[in-house]
Amino acid sequence: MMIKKDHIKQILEDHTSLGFKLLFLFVIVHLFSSTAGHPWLKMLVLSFALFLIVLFVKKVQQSLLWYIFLALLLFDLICNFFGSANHHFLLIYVTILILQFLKNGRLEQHKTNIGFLLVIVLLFSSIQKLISPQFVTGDFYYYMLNTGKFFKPFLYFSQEMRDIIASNNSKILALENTDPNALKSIHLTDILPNIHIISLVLSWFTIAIELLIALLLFLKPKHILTHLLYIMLILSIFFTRLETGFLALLAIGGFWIAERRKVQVIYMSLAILFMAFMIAKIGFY
Amino acid sequence: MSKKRANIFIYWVPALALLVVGIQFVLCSTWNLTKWKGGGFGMYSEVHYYYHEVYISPLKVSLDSLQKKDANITDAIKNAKRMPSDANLNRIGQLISKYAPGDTISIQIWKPHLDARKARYSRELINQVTIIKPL
Repeated sequence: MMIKKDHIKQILEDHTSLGFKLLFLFVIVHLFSSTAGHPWLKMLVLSFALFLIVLFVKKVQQSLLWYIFLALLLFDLICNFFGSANHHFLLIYVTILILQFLKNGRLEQHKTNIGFLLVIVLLFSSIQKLISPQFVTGDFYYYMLNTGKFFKPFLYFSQEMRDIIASNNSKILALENTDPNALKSIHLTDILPNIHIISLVLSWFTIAIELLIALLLFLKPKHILTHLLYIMLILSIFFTRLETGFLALLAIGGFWIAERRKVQVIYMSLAILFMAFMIAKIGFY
Repeated sequence: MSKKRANIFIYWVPALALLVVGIQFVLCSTWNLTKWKGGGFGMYSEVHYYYHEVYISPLKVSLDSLQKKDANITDAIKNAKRMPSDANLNRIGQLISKYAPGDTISIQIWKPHLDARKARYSRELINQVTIIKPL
């Protein structure tokens, strides 16, 4: 089969259809990876949903399909409200917006709403860090770095770091087997010199950059600089920790609000990559 | 007037997201809900609740073995780690009371406490309940 350049160009130009396609794929992948519990009840609900989809859904841009998705997502949320990931909440909001768009056809309003949701995600992600004593002191990053929970791919290059991390984790495990009321503490070995200062700087940098991007998305949602910074944020999260489900949805959100074709292609490629990670069960989805 | 009102209502979905964030803030401060959950976008602002520890005293058998035996205990512990409210700790107490000798059971939830400057890792008590077993 010959791949025609014009054909791809034509598909990329249909921004709305591509947005629907990406979100459709994401909902399917997310529903597979979500663990709501109540498997028998879920099986019955899914059977009914699949019957409706097979018999009545003809295209991706059909309200019925998104009502079914919304019902399934809400079912998961109700079964496991306190266990649901933050991107599950975000996906529900986006699905409602899709239904709103299918009803009124107002694309600009739809994009503004998606943009507002991304602002809320980043703004409150930043505020929650700002009011967390463990975060603003750098203690959280210090713990994550010294126990090997961040930057895993880079750790493969240093046997020394891996040894320190293994030693720290075994010390923590040994402490866990003692009565916490004895109020014992252990000394963690640093994987890098001055890591407590690095952690502190990194913490405040994270808060500042999230606040800045939230502000830019609110004031200048179409500006190229906003999108470049937002893409850099997505990539930096990717290299820090494989939060693939959350990242895929952030990329899809970026895709909906981006105006330039090249930026849209970057978001689309990132969303596809992160969804492939989710399906392959690599990382945290 | 009606057009203005309609304009406000087109943003009801982000407003709903804000409402959920507000509820999550209340749950975090009243019932100790972890910032990671509840739709408040507080992920990675504190150590994950998975690393919280449940300490029960006295207990005849290990908590790990009880979790392997009874899925309800596993769920109750998961819930209590996520939201160490009195109600969730009491739920653990109800489920494990037959494995606890004595008249009272103490159930505690601890979280990791870090001090980066001193390179120290210790544990901090989040909540505890004492249950008096019925005679």
